[in-house]
Amino acid sequence: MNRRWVIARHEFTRHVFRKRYLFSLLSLPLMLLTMVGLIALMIAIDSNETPLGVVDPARQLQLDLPLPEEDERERVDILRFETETEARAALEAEEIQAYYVLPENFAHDPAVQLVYFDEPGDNATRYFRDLTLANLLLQLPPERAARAMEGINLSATTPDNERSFSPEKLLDTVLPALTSFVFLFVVFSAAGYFIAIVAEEKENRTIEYLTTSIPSGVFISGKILGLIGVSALQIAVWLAFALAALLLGLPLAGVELPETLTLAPTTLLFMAAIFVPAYVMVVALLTAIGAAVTETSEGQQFAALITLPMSMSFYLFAYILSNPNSPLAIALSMFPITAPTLMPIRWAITAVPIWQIAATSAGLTLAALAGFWLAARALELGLLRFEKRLKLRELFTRRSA
Amino acid sequence: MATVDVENIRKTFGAQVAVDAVSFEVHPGEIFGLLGPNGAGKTTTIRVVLDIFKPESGRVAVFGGPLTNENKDRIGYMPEERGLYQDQTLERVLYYLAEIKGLSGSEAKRRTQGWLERFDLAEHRRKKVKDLSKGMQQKAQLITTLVHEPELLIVDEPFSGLDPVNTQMVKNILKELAQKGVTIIMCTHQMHQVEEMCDRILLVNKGAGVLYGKLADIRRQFSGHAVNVRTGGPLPDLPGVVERTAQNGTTHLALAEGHTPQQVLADLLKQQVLVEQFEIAVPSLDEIFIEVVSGGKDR
Repeated sequence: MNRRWVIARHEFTRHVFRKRYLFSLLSLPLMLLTMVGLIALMIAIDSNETPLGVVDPARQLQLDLPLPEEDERERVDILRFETETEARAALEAEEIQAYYVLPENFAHDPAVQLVYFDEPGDNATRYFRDLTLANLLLQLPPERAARAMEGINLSATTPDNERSFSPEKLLDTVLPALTSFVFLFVVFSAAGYFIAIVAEEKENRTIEYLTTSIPSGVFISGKILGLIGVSALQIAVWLAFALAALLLGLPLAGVELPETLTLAPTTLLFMAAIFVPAYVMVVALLTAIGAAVTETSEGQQFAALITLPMSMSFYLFAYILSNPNSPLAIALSMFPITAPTLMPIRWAITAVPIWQIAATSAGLTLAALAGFWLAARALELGLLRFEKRLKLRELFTRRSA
Repeated sequence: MATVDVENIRKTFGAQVAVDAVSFEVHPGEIFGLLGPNGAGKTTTIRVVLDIFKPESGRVAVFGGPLTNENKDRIGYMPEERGLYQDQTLERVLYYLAEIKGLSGSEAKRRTQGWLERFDLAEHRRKKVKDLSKGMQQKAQLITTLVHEPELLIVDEPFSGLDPVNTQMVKNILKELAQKGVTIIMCTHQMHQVEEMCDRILLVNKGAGVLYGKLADIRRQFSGHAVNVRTGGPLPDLPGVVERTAQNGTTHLALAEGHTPQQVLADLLKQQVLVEQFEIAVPSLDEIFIEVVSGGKDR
């Protein structure tokens, strides 16, 4: 087996089977699971299956009208009362959770009165609202009634027709932004591994043996490949769970998802153009830090130079949302360190010109190459320094040992 | 052709001269001792040979030319700064390091198992390295150095942390390898090990080579100023003897400058002393080491 892959495999298995990694890998899914569980719990608390009452002596409301499938899931029994006195007696006897009083001319003035002691369940009020809407739409042709029942179906297109937004294209909007969050999580959790990429071999004194056995480039690239595998597994698992939580959690929270979700190839291209070089850049810079320091704890302090500006960029989230095309938003979304978090947010809410995406991707690629150069220099110069870390100045001025 | 040919190398770190004008050759099947006090430049010399450090001047040839990546697989190196992955099992670390040296997965396992048996480590192979004793870790380190059957072996303090039984086992292995034609460079402070194992030595002091050659020749160079004598009766006073010391039934006579052992023997015979044993006292390597290092004597 190619020795680069021997190192990559060793690095991958060494980390993946550690308790610390498994804990980190499962932490986000567990958090999401907890969130979905909490949503489900809140919905269960807010649900009430006790029948509703309706005071409708004129039989204006058809109570057995079939509703769309998703509305039928919230069905509660509705009892009709001739008078409000009967309805109130039933409410006091806890036979119903609340009752509505329909006006005499409901078809023309559909304002109803709701009477209750304790607030009725969300499912019950939603079901009654849908049922009354369906009754009011009975006069329309069925297809128009069905469309009206669907509610708002917003589709927006940018003036230059470059981007359009609609529920079916939810993933095109959400996925890059979601990936930027996952990216940041991964950078934070994987930073320790990359910082320790060589520091560990220095600490355990295997570095001299290894670098006299194989070229430094093979050694460092094998380690980087292995660690990229470790992070890729983490990204895949987290992204899968995040998407699953989104697709499961949104309907639970009452947000209806369109039946067909599409993902445009341009979105995938955009993500590849931003996240791949961004990830390689972060890996290279963290590796350079790891190669320059003598102890992992020291490296973790220096890693903040990269992770802090990345996380700080999220504080600008609100500003970017309201001013996505301001000079500051454009500049920060193109700056290599903040690009992986801010450019996907701009992508989600505005039409980012192609040249900006290309320039950002090129900038990230150049930063990644510079990071690799620094990592190789740091490894070469700091190879046998066990007690003293390299100074930044030395990386640019000192000649090889 | 010499396996290692070092010619007049110089290496500095800033203002500090680590190695200057060091030259030596090591040949196939030879056990070569690289000696010197702490900080003398031994490790720097080895790192120059292994292309970790680039010399400012001089020339190094390994296997007849500059050290290539392919030739690195022909070298087994146990550095002074050594260690293993502490959180992994012994066998996993050894398989990995054997594969790094170019062995296939199955071959790495097969050979590692053989060495584990030979070093009495087989029953500990599933233990984490950190749970092994210092001596066991040292033996594991030797396995990583030997597993790929190198043609050139460079070992820095190979006996450190080993008990006498394991020390003897390692000695036997090194001698066995030398007999098979493996070139061995051994860095150590343990002079008695050098005396027992090495054919030739280079003594480095303050970055410079101060003694170089066959061990026997070097010892001979330092001999001639003392004799060991055992007699049938009391030893009379002898001219030219500046100091006499009793040693296990023999007497060690230190001679005055210019007085030869032959003159001492002639005086003994002249005085009709019954001589049971007479030999020119050859200094131990320890004594030569101390004399050269503290006295700055070059030969």
